[in-house]
Amino acid sequence: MPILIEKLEYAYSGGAESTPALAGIDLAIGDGEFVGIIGPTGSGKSTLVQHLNGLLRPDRGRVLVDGVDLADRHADLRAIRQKVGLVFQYPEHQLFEETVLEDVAFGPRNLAIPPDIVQERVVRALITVGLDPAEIGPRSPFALSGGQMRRVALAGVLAMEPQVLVLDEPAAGLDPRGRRDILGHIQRLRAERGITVVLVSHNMEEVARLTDRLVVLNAGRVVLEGPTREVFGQSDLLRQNGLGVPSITRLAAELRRRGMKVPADVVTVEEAAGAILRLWSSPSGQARAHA
Amino acid sequence: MDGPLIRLEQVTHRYDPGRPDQVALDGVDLEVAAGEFVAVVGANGSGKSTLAKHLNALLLPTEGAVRVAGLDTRDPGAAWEVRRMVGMVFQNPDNQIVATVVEEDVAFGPENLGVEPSTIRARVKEALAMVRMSEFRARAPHLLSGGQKQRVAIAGILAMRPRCLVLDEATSMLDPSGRDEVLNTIRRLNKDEGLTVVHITHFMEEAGAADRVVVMDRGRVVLQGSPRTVFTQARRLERMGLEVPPITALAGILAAAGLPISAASLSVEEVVDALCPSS
Repeated sequence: MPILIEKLEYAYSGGAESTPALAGIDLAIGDGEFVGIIGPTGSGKSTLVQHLNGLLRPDRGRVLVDGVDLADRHADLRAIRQKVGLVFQYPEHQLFEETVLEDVAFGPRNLAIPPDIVQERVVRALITVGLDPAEIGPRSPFALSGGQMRRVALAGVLAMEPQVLVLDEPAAGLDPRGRRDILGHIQRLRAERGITVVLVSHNMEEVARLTDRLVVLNAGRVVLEGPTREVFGQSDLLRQNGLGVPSITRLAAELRRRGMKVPADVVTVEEAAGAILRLWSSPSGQARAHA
Repeated sequence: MDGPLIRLEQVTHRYDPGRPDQVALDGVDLEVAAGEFVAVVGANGSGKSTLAKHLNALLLPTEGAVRVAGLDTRDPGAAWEVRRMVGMVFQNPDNQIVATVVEEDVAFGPENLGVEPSTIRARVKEALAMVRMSEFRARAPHLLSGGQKQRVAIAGILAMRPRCLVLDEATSMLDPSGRDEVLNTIRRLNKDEGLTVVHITHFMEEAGAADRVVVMDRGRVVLQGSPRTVFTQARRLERMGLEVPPITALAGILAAAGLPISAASLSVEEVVDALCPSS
């Protein structure tokens, strides 16, 4: 279910300022890709992803999901929202049912799916996000911890069984363990079901670890795009656009500058440790460092 | 005044008196010296926000006592003075702006204290300069970035001439450059103006900038010391749902493998200097 965005423009009406939120975006997302979208606050990330399931309609340009043009007033948005699941920032603010089971069932129930299938999906979605349906299911979502509420909200979208999962800062405000848990569930889901994932994040370490490809937005335009490692290789350009690179990437660049031949495209702690230890155990590496 | 600026003595807090088993703070002893920069870290639900709200009498201890410059926060007559001395910046930058123009927003606090108008104007000007937001004084706050809004919120507190600034996860909703702006602002206020800072955060890299890191777990202070001392306890931090910054994690692996590097390295520069000593 590929997504194709062509010359997408969008401006929020009502404000005195006429700066467009999106100023001509071209982007293609293929099946099974894990794409990261990064950019400073106000660069248009959230506006862009809200176009992926027809929540916002383009002022100009097209958004094609599985060949359906979402700008078309006759497009079946219900069908699209079933295929493209969007998890907002702080999704736990949208929990409203009395029990976790009811809340997660809300979406699929609206799809006119038989109740027993809905039940199956709810249970499966809760297990996917690491919650025990028997223990957590009957409880009020509001009596849960922040991390648990976030996972219930994610389960609500997963129960729709979307083919494309779009996540806007899914780990914001969670502690490191909460972040790792929720992103781990998403990673596993993608590995098991081959779904497409679009992740909006401010956390460079996380996008470096998870995504195949990065799209960098600034002022409503795509300013840089490519395989994640290549994008992080362009640290000057990222800095010009108000972004940083993972500290490990910065370290690798600095070590290379000082003569240690660490690959320029390492992005994670494990990769950097492996590369440095290999160099260190080779006689030339140690000799160079001690020279 | 001698002694610590803030002193918590055996502070216990329960939100629900009907549930004595649910303790948000469990016998916390803590002192913050004047001029200190303290970071408080802990997993969600560890009690760090509850702790922050005790520092300016937004919450009162169920048991124990909190003293700010000698004033007991449970004393109703002291609450206003405590809140003037200890200013708090919260998580969501959009929930703390009250006025439609930046300088009016900064003036709101001192106006409520009944400060004379000409003095207010001078203080607002000075406070905006301290957070480097002077050029935005006539702007509408809702058009600012998250980092700028938080700096305006800090200026609003500075205009009340506080002794201590408490940031309750004030960087958690910001992008990386917004976080840098706020962190650089509080470091500068601490170093140059001698302002006491208590920074509550999930981000261990930010805690690395403090003089002292206090680690909370299940309502207790379980570990504290310099960032270097605290970050060498990587395993223990992980068990509490936290993690050391990536650079420190890498240094830990390299040190364990026998490389000549401190496992408590905090910065890229430190690791580079250890691995490639300049001749």
